Amino acid sequence: MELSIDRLTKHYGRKIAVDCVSTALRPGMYGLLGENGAGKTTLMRMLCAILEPTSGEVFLDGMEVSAMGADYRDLLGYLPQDFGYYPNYTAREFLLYMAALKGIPRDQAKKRVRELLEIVGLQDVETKKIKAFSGGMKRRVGIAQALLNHPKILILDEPTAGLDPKERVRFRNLISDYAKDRIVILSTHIVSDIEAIADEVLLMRKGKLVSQGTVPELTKQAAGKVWELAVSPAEAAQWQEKASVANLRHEGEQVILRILSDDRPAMEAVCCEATLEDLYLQSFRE
Amino acid sequence: MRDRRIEEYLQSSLRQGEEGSPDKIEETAAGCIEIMRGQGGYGEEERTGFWQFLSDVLRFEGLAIFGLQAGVLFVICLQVGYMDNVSHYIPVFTPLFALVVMPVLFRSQFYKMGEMEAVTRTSGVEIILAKLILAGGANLICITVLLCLIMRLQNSRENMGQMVLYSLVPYLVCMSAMLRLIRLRRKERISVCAVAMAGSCVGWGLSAKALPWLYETSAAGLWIVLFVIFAGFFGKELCLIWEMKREGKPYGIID
Repeated sequence: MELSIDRLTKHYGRKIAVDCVSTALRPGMYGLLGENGAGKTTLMRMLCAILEPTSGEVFLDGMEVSAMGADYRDLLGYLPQDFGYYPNYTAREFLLYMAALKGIPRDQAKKRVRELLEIVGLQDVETKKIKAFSGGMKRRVGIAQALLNHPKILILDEPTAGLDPKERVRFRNLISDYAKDRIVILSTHIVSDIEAIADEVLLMRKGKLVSQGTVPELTKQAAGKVWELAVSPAEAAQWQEKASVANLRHEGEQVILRILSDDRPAMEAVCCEATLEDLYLQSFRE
Repeated sequence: MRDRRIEEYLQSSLRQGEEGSPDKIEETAAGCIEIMRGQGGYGEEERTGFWQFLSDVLRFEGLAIFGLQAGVLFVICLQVGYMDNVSHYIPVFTPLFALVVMPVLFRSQFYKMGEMEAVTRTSGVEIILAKLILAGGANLICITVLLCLIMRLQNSRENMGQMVLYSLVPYLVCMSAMLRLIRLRRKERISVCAVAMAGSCVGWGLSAKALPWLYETSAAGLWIVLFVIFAGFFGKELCLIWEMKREGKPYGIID
């Protein structure tokens, strides 16, 4: 299975939301990283065929997805960034409703809903109305609906927003298991989530796909550009103004700065191993 | 359906420039079938058809659809008993049936479910179609009950044809406008549509007072012309919905 994106572009008037993005995705976990307004959501909506591109096409194994219609949507699982819910439905009713829209026969739907409620840890509250749920619980219902039809292509826009650390770990394990023979595209601002589970990272900036590769491949780009420097608290404020400080931590009387710089920022600075977050911050430094 | 690999395969076969020899044609057909087979195997899971989906929509939305219609019918029936010349006021009542279809049709937009529903197998278009079938059925039942009640109050079947036109023309005007609004994705105009429907009730009510000739037998021709025009608009909207369902295009307001 191959999902190929061919020069996909979306304009909103004069604003270019997605600018000629081309890539090919095979089964695996893809992390989509980019600042707000980078075009991630627009790209995901075009991949779901709910937003018509200005130009360019998306193909699944050579077939144009918009022409595949229901056959393509049958393969999709999608969790939008801001999704709503019918407040008077219980978690179980909501999932059964979504199963009906996905064309899952009633008996299979009941079984699948029970399984998924257990997977996302909502089996004890399945008869409670969604309006009484916390933000994290609502998001777990959203994740469950995306998995209802055993999707071959799973597109998740900010799925971990609002989840507590324990839920995030549970979600990461579930999804990374899921991506073995499926295409999973995950957009998030939480770089550590992507670092932990993504096979490949797609870095977007101003609508363009600026980098694509595995985490080690990408972090190599930032190698030799990440420095640690111990300074006094008074100096730390000055450094924050004149350099790109990725992190700051207090150790006794000193402040340890993690600085992103092409050249050694100070004689005492020590070069350290780059992480995906460093690359992310470096890419969006300007 | 466009298929890039089949297209490339056929292009390369054509480029070989040979006249369509039976062997070559057979070889090309076999190649195409092999590619298609290679692309199969996605949809191995059982899926329900449209009628099963319709019964599911009835299960989830039926109460709202039929409950709202029954509520409006009840209120109208209470009014009808106290009115003179009640047949002239039929056009005031029927847009109300269309008006209460709005919460059902725009429910997913109101609760920000449009995007999630549009990505499902049924997509927005089948959901709208199913809701329209159910709401349309409920509307027809209610309008029939209303007409029967009016005829019983008048103790006469005279002007029955005209009364049918008085009920259907305003209904078709409102439904066509609503479907056009959904198709053109004029999200910001949902409230405008509701106001326009409520306004049309007032307008028809004023016409009953100010233009009594409109409700005389001699004006039947005008009503027939209006019926044909708006039935045409309504039919066109339904055809467009069906076409979009067939082509698998996104339909409706996806926020």
